[in-house]
Amino acid sequence: MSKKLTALLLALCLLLGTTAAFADGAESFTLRVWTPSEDQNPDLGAWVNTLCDEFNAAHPEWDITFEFGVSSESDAKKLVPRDMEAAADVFLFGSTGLETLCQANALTEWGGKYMKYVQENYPETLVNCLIYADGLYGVPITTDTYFMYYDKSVFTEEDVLSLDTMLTKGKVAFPLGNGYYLAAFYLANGCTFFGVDGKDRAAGIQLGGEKGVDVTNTLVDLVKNENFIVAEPSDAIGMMREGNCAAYICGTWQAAQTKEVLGDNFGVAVLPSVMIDGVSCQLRPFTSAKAVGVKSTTEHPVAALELACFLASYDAQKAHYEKRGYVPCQNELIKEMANDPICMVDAKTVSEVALARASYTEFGYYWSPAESMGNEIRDGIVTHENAAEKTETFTQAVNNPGI
Amino acid sequence: MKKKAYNSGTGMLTALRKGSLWVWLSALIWGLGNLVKRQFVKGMLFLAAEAGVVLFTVQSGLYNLDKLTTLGIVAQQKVWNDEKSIFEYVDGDRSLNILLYGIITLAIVVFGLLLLRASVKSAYSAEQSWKKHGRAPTFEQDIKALLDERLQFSLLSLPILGVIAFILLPLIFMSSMAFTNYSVLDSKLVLFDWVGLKNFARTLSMNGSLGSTFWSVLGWTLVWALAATFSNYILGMLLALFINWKEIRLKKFWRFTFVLTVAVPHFVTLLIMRQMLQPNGAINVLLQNMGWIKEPLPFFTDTMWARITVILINIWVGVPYTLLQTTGILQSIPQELYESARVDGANPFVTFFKITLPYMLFVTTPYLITSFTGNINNFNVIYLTSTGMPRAVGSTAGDTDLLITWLYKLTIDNQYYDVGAVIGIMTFVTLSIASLLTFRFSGSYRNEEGFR
Repeated sequence: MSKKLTALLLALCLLLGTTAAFADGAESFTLRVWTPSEDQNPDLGAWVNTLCDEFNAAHPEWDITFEFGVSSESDAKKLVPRDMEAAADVFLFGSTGLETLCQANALTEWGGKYMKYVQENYPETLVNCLIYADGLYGVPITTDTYFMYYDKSVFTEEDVLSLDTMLTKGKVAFPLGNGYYLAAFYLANGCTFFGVDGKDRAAGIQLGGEKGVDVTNTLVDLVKNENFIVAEPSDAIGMMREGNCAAYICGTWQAAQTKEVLGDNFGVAVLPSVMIDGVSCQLRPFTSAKAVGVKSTTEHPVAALELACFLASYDAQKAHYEKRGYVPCQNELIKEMANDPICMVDAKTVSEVALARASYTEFGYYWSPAESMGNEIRDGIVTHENAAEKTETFTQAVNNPGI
Repeated sequence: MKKKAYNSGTGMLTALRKGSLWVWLSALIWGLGNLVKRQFVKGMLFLAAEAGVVLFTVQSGLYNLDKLTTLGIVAQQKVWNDEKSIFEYVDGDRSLNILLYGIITLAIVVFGLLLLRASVKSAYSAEQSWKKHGRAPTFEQDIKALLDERLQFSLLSLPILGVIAFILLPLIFMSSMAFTNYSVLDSKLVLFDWVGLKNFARTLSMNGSLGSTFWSVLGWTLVWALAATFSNYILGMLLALFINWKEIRLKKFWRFTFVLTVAVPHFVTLLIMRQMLQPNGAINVLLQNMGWIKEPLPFFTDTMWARITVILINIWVGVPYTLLQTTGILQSIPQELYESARVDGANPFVTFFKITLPYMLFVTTPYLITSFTGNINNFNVIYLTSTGMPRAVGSTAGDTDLLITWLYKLTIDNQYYDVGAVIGIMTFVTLSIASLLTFRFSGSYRNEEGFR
């Protein structure tokens, strides 16, 4: 009996010794990663899971166990500060939530070699979206803007340059009841969101004056046009499928569905221009960036920062585009993908047409009044007679918290 | 003063007045009175509890309470580490966590005080027992009593603990936000302060956008609750009456069809109705294609239309329930009353107003009150159909918004948590006043035992 016991004890010691020898040098810890659920979906390629495994293999000095959680980019600004201890070490967030996250002290500032890496490898517009109080707080993985999908059999490439021309030929769906899209008209005529470059907090949102009233009048007329349909992108694609709509406004998230519906007639273009008070004005969308951020109180900052850089690297963004259609924003990859129609339109929009959206919390006052205003225009409550008064109320309301 | 219907034992103050020195010492060292009277297990349990509470207080309790007074002032600090090329952070105070831990600590303090009271009372009762019987009940006897004549304590302890931990404490936590400025305004999401009754003053004032919005939403909420409750009740009752008439055949079939709407989950019904009633939804498109109307009907875009539409939708989803309720009660009304009324020459209207309606109202008054309270907080029917629309530019609340849907928008969409908490408290106050008043003045309260 005692011989068996000794043998067992010896075997145990041997086992422990070998495992200790193996683990020697590899620091073992857990990293929590939050991404949208589609990035973890095996049917869509499980983007983040595969990349994290590759990251672990590429770093033999660490033995990382990954814990994945679900948080869409727009939810991160609410979920991460809610419970800092339980929050992810590395997460995806939208740059429009940057001020919220920074005021909650939830993000690590990037400095030194990491900051240099981001500044050298990613477009300036997007990197600027991630700067708050002179500090850089993330690395961009894609843009977040919108453009127009159209049916090539109805519109030619010259037609899609002007909304008025398009309306003579076919139906166009525009989500007027959504402030995100409504702003395109106001920006087109020179109204400002926090200054001309979008970086002047004190300037507020100026949608009034003569410029604003002209836009409201143009919208009142557009809504009366039979071919101008007010519908959200999710409804517009259904209408397109039934043949009731030949063009609609949306971002990259419905590209695959639209390709499926239109097939060879799939066309994508920058937003058209529209005639406002006799002048042709280019509709201007907002742009922001989706980025990878690192929690400020993470216990493994070096590993987390390295993982963030890895998730935004050339290979990662290429995989992201193939699996989920996220338009790449890494400098080399942009040059390579210049021929893809969606990437081309997206790049043109971001560099020439769009306004980089500020992440100021005052921006939050804009959404409810914009929804109400868009609905009132759609329902004909705003007419030429009261356009001036309504525009004035509107521009007052968007600068006010309402309580 | 009403005499208590049960014997709850001697109060703590009586125990202190009449008890010996040991009872007084039991207030300081819990369980001492029990140990002295040879109730070892009980005494040790009290001592262990005291040790736990004291340990907690010394380790974190005092710190939590101290932080609770200021709700934290220390900001986050960061230090540049050049070697690793990273910033290293030391997290500062987070007011929400401080509030939570403070409230839990207060709860534990209250619990400690209750244990103190229990210790004193137990010491006194052990003393009395010793005087009367020469010894105090042993632990086994106590356990047996708990399972027998004092069964109510053992059975109720877990549910009460559950209610306190999962309902009462979270409620206190959420309500305490009403006295702070926890809001996205002025970036008070991480570090916020106590502001006392300032939010209440703003909400209840007659001028200022918050106050005027509050009163108008409150007015519509009360109108809605009354209209929704009574429309469902009367229509349900009328339907039940019609189906109950002797002349109607296939009674079960009619009841089945009218109750069929309950088979589809409310969520689905309401969302489908929202889609159908949009300006470019099914109903408007159908009517326009048939040429009956030119412009889409403003179901959710005109204030009056929207309000009537939500009441009608609520009738559609709510009548089956009142139909079932009233059918059951109708069938229990004694038939002699109807027969004697017919003999006296009364027509159906008189019968309804003199016999059926009073009887129904008497029996269902508590149900009506519950229904009224439920409708004040009827989130689904408003939020899923009209979503509170139409909403004027510049207002945070729409014209069909109830207090609760407005609260949801303020907190989830806009992150004005302090105002949301105030509205939550005001909703509770409204509900309590409404229910207490109605119940007090109703027949059911005044005449509990009999009908007439």
